[in-house]
Amino acid sequence: MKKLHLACLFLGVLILAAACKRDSDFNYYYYEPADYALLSQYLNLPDRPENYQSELPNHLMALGLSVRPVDYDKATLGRVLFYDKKLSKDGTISCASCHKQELAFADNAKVSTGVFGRVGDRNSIALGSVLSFSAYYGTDLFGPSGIPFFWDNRANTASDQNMASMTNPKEMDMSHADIVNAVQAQPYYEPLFRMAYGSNQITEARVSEAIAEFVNGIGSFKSKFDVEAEKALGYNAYSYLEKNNFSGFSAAENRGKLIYLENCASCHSATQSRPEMMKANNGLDATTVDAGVGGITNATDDMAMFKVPLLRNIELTAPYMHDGRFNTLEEVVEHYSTGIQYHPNLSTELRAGGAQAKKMNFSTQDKSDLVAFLKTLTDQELLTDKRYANPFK
Amino acid sequence: MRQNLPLLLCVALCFTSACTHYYYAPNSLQTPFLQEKHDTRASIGFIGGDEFSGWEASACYSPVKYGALLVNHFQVKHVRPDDNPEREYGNGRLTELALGGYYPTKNNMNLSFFGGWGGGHVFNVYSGGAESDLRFERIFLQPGLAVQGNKARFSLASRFNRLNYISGNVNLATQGEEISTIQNIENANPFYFQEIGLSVGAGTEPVWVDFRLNINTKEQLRKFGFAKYTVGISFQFELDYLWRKKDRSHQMNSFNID
Repeated sequence: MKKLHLACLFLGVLILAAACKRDSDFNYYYYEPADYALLSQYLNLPDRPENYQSELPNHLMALGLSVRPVDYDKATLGRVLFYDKKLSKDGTISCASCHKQELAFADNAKVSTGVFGRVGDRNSIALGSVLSFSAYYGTDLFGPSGIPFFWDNRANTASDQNMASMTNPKEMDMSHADIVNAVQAQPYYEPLFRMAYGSNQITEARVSEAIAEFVNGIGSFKSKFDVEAEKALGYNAYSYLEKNNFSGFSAAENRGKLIYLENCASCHSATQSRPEMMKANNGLDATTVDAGVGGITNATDDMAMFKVPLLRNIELTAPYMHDGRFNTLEEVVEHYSTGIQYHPNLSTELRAGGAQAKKMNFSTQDKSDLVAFLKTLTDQELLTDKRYANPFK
Repeated sequence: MRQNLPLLLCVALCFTSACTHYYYAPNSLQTPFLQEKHDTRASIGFIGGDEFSGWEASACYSPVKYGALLVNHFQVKHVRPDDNPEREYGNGRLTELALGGYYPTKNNMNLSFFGGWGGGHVFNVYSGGAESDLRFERIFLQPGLAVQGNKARFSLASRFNRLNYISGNVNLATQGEEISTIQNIENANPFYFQEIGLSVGAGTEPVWVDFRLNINTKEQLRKFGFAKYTVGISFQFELDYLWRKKDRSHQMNSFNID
């Protein structure tokens, strides 16, 4: 009987001891600890991927636009590749050398300088809102292939674009084999590829896809214009741009908005969602100096035609035009006011009729207001968004 | 036919359950049919549930009259029935020790009560290769009732559990619902719930075959990836039969000598 009592006592003690709640210790990790230690030697990456999924504001959603899902692991890998100078022949140039985050992923040089000091041909295009001109919109006016890349529209996708830049002798001057070898030589890519692709096999196609995933994930939708458009959408969904002054805009900005809608929006988009046309001649020169799209297609009708860019973050992306000839927005506005040259392929929107170039003849006030409006397209958050920042230590 | 009823019920449950990763599954509730001091039982069996299966073993010994010691081990694997090389996977195991008592009545009934403590872990691999490994402790109180005839037997037991996940290593590459489930487990920890175990057996000394059904009665725990039920078949050996037989034979020999 004594044994039974002892057993019961032991059982009671056991249960009481176990019933005292002990803190649980849950350890959450994304990368294997050894992998993260390796990555941390070279990179300032968070212990789990950033959320690269941009959310479109409602005023763009209302237009039927949408974004495709972004693979965070591929975008993280792409971000490292984007900033990695080892992907260039002389180890001095990365994608980010010509697409600087603080400039909305544009370059402040007239034309960018590539490896071994080689000078490029055209001005670097801002990537600050690639979401807006890549193949996301499916049924938009450019069809399922989306809006092409480069000033001469020679690349259909962001992957084609980045591979062309990496292999361009005036930019990074790498062969496909060079790219794979350069990536394989860096230890930090092994875990990044494994996370992105489930294996550490490195191919140029994967490199290109990952960079595209990062670039395609860059969204810029937090400008003053977006904030005000979002507010205005609430009370007038269909004509919020034309009919209403934006309450948060200054008088100059609202006047500039109307000038923009009347004179610029038919090419560059009233809603800042996507350009209204894929290519145009905007009367920079009377004769063909740079063939532009025509240099790719060899079509007479395409000579001196160039991509029509979106104007988001335009304040930050000087110098302007495909050849960087204008240093300020005021110079750009002056061009459209009085400087348009007649060219056989001049856009009809810029013609006065027949073979005449249009003179918009803006007043000094108009020019100032228009520039004020263009500056509302700047998204300051993009410039310091850590998701898009240089990850290298 | 009556003996097949639990099996039919199990088959029905298998077809109505949803596929998921599990973070807990009930092992069998053992009612060892002890009769007297030095009774010793050992059992081994197969056990499984919806998309997982494994084995369990149990041993019980009565060192004193009406007192008993019980040890259980349970381990199962969760394998999805497809050929995807990146298929999801999981396994879990539990080992526990219990002390308790039993009281055989004159009408073939046997009342028992056990209280015990154990621990184990549950390991899952998700699509893409992410992993989670959760360690837990469980204490329980388990009253039971058994009826045993010459050829058949039946038992019913109820187990009151306190399940505490003491640690977890969780790869956050586990996206979406699964990671939410694990975080919910951490937040809701510890868990108190009741399980019911039914067994129907056939056999005779010293071997019995038991069909088992173990049900977690708390419906709210499904969202934490707790399996609703397990079913099993086990073979119990009355080990004491061997040495009692030896004793009997020794006694018989002694009588012969006399």
